[in-house]
Amino acid sequence: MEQQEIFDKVKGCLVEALDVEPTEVTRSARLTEDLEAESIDFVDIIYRLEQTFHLKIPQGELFPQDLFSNKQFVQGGSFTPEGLAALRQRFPFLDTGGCSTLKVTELPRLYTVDMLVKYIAGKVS
Amino acid sequence: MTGIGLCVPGRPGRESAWGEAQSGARPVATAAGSRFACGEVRDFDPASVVDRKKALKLMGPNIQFALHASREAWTDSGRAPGHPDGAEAGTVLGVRVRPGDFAELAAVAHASLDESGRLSMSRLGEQGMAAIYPLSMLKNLPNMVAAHVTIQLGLNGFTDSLTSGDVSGLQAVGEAFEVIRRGDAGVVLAGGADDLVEPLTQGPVAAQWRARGASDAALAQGSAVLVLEARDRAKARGARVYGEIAAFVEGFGPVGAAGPIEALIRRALAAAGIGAEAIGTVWVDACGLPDEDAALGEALAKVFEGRSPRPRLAGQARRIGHSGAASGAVEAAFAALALGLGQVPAFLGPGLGGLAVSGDPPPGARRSLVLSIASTGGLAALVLVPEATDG
Repeated sequence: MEQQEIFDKVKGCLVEALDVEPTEVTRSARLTEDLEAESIDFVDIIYRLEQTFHLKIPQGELFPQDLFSNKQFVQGGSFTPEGLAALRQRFPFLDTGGCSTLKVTELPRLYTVDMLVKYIAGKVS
Repeated sequence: MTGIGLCVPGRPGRESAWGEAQSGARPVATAAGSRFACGEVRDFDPASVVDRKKALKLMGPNIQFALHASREAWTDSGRAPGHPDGAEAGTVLGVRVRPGDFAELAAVAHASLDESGRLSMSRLGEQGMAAIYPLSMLKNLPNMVAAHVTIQLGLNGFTDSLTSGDVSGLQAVGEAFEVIRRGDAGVVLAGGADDLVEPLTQGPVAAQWRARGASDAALAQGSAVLVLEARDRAKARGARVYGEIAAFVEGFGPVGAAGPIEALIRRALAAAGIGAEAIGTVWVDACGLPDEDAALGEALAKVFEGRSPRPRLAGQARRIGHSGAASGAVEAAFAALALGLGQVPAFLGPGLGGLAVSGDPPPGARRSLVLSIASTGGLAALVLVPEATDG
């Protein structure tokens, strides 16, 4: 499946789940800051992606909840070097921009439409 | 009763509903192939009850109707969402456990069919479960109606959801009356919300009605909410008062039995400290079920025997259909409006118990009795009186 086709379908899912205009769903749009996705919306988004692309998104594969509770990976509200390494290894579709530090509260900014497209592309390939 | 909100078959809103009740408009229609007519809320825009349209994915129609009625009632009582009174304001709503959305469950069923087109339990486990919309449960849980109402209006007081079947709505109004009386809340939004039109709810109810010999009853959807507060509080802030609740009683009896209904009415009158001669109007959520009409008629005839002229009979379920858990609250809301406005719409059905179906209530008899009868046997009665004067 071509990336453009994946993007078009991801856009459709986000338009339905978040009630946003198609023009708002750009590749660089951040799900929470730009498209105002809330935690309950992510449940809906995952469901729609699964139904649209006929795939299964296991818990923890898209969002690193299990990393947050690991004291080796998160301390004082920030990812440790080990935590960042684990994040990059487990979630290669996340663009961390080579940063050396990352606060947990900054993580949502990395969840963009482009991230979703890359994730789906990796799954369907 | 200082605020009333209505979202019932016909155009949504208190003024529209009252106008249509006065005119006798009957907003029900029978779809091809259906046995019973349905009363639907028309020209209703669900987006009008939410700030963001995406919130609607968490709301079934019953929640949307309840939000409309609750917002209208709260505003009618002189308050806006976020009003300081919300800190101690609560809700008591009569609701139903929704069986789910037909379209959503149809998708699950479709995913669970085997090659021969039969439902396969193994396919249900493997593929059907994955097709369930993860947020559907939030639409179906009965307490989610109150959840959305309290969140939107900023209410942080006592909250309860009653699921006693068709009597839940009037029970909710009565329970709110008791909650305020015992001091557990200063203000309560009380009422009900339901939808007997949606397919998965309509089917079982229609089957029951067929078994009971109903022919011209109508299934309805909608919500009615009243704002209740203590008299002293209402007077202190100069609120407009439609009327007051004097008593609330509950009971139970087999379907079609007049004795329990008669006993309920007599207990209500005793609890209110009045005799039958004080009742000017009797509001009923009877919608045309033959056994219920017969029992109700017999009970009313006995209670008001010898009374001349007899009280007025009133009720909207005959006009707009029976709205399940909301029905009793709908009748209470219209009864409150009638008390406040001094007019009683005609009853669009045959008289019961010899009561008049049109015209003014007997002179001097200004109290109203509201009755709700559930197909499961639950009974509830509310006595409404005009606003008390000094003393």
